[in-house]
Amino acid sequence: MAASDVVISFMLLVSIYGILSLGLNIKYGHTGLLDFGHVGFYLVGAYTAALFVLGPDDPTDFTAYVIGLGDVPVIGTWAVAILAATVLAGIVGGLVALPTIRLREDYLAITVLGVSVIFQRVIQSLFPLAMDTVVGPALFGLIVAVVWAVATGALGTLRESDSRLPLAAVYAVTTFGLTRLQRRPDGIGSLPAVGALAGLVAGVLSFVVLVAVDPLLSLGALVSLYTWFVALVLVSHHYRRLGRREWAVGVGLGTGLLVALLPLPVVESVGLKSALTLGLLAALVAAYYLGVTRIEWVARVKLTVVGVGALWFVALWYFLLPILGPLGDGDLAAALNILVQNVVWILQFGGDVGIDYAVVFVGDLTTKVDYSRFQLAGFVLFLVALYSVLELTVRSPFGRVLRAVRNDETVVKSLGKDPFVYKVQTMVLGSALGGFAGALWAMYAQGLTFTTFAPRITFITLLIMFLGGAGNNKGMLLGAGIFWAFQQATTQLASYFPPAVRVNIQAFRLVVVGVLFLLVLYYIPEGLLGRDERSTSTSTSTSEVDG
Amino acid sequence: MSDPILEVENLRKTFGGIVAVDGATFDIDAGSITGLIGPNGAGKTTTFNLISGFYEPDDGVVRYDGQNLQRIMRPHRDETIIWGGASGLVTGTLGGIVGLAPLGLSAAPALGTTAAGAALGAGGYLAKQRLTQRRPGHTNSRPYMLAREGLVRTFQLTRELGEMTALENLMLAPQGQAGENLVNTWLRRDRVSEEEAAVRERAAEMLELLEMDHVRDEPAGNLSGGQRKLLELGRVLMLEPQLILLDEPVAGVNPSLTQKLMARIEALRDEGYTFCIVEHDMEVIMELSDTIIVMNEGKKLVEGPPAEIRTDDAVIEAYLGVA
Repeated sequence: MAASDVVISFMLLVSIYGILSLGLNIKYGHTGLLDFGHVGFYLVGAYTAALFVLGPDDPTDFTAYVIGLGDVPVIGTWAVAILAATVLAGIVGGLVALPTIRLREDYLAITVLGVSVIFQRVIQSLFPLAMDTVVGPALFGLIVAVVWAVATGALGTLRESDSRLPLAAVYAVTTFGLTRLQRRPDGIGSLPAVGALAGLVAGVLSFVVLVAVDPLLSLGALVSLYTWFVALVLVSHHYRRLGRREWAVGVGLGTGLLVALLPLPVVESVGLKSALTLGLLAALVAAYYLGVTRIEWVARVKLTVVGVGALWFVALWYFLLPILGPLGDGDLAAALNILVQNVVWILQFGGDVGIDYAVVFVGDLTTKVDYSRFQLAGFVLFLVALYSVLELTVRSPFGRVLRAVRNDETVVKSLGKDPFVYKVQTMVLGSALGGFAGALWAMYAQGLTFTTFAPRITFITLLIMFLGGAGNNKGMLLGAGIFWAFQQATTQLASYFPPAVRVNIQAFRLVVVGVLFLLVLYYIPEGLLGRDERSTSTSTSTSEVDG
Repeated sequence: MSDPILEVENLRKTFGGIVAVDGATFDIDAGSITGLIGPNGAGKTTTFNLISGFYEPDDGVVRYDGQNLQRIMRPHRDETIIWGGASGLVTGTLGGIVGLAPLGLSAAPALGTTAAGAALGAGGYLAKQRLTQRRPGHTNSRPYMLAREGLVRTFQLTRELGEMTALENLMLAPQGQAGENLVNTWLRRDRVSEEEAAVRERAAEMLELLEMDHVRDEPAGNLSGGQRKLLELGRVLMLEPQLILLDEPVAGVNPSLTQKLMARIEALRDEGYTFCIVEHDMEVIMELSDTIIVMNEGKKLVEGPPAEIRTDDAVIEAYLGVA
């Protein structure tokens, strides 16, 4: 698996858990309703969606499906399934909430139901996409549209900022001149609208180009490079105030982490490699601790340098590590080949199926557009849309009442507003988001077992919420990102150990997550980003999601 | 004097063995400032809680604008829709399941049992609600219904929304804001933001009036005790009420601001607002009030203009314990 595939699955998980946490956040973070049964709505959503798209009951099969709409044309598709899952989870959330909502602390226990296997659905059988029909280019166009829209929207927030790069010019090009709309007074020229329109144009263009000629690789490369450019600009803009020495500390931390992990693939003996790695990690943590406690300017940027270090580490892992092996063997072409595969992340490489290219210096490449990239486009679109809706909600007078309910219900009552009505709406909204996330999970996992929905999920969601900052929607995205980065990183690390040890490491992760939770609650109870107390009706800006 | 806006008749409230309010009876005239005084434990705050709907009375009637409070506080349509809808949904689902499985009906008749179940559930809830409301002696506690009708109160121990800014505390109050409805928030953004700008302006004006514009964006939890008092007053004024119950409005407010506050209250009275004020600062209450009601041991002791109350023997006895 190329590094880009790992990142794709990471982002899919972040989207699912981001939405799930946004749901819990509106309940607890904004309104103060603690819901330990949030996973129940995730479950309702997952099973509803799955049952919707499954085929009708087949007597020769051992499974029995309740609804079986899978063969009905429009209704048995994922889009309808997600909608149904969301609505049903919302209704169930409201119903479950009614008897308990009058209590101050809600404890909503949900019994977990079970159904066993879900089969892959129609749409997945289209992948990898065949580019010689109309369907292939159309779906690829869809992916490009979403990726382009998100990247352009993110770039739009920075186009006026002070930079040595000609950002405004790039923005004008990538929006296809649509920025003219922004000067018009009638309001359609808002940033998200321009981003969406630009995405639409890009999607249609790539569809047309793909139908006419066959430049999948160049097209993929173009879109991918654009997203890398935007990501780079975003990162450098985010850290623009950081001085040289702060950068150096961050880069040092990231490199140090990489060095500490080096014994894992290099050393043979399990005991020795664990000891070495743990020792080096301890040294790294000790150095960081000393720096934070002894040196004043390090203490001021203690979290920022960790962020820089993490980004640096990820960059090394993504671009450098995969090509180290071939470079060591002196095989420059193979190294370039792998590099291209990771840079052009929007396409999947390898395998027997797909379109073959022979590129100078790089060698043979087999490209295809796979199902997970298609899902990524959809999930990111959902995440951005739901995030925007929630931001709109919590910044409105409605959101103000929610915060007032969290602060003091009696005041809300004395001002002529019924807290009960607001709490019910919150529960419906939050649970519906849980159901939405569940439907996405069913789509992602392609198979549901009841153990998936252990209370652990609620626990993880709580961790994400407290990590990012309860009451801060952006924090949910950050929290989900950090949690899944941890999960994926440890999965990767475990692969350096023999299978018997691997199981223990995977299990031990939960302990680490628990300790992490305690540390977060103890040291940063307000979370990394803190509560978002910007006053209501501040206009919403587009979220920053790296393409 | 004009008609009474509030009539309290034989109001009674006990907590365990303690009789907090014991048959209090008095009227408050529209467009007046009525002071409510009495020694500690006389039942003033409990009376406030009863009048504003936060407590349910054991006995007695309170009429606001000629209407029984208990009638005003009957369940609101939203609440009925939520509970009735939920009951209907649950029993409808049950009806559908029963129709499909035990009775073994096909889809169309099962739809019938679903509908029957839903009707039964929703109807049952409505009937139960009717019956409960008709039962003599049934009391409701929905203070927000009273606030919607223009009967508002402040709290003795201030209840500011500590994590929200002073401005937001005020912006929360106005009634019937379009943006408090999710559908409007999502779909009628222009209307909501227009209204929000107007509310913001009004709130800013109110802060200016209370001489608090310098703490506009400060979390209310960081304000001083006196500022919190003012914030509460401003918050209920944002509701554009008719009858305002103020529980110790000037406790902790500095003397010069107290004077301004009193002038403001008097000006509002002249505009037609009605005030009922509990206050321990005798100078303030004597100067401010048109009528003073003295309570002792849960009952009205005497009632009259400040000049009479000042020299009343019974009042002096209640306060000082000597004749």
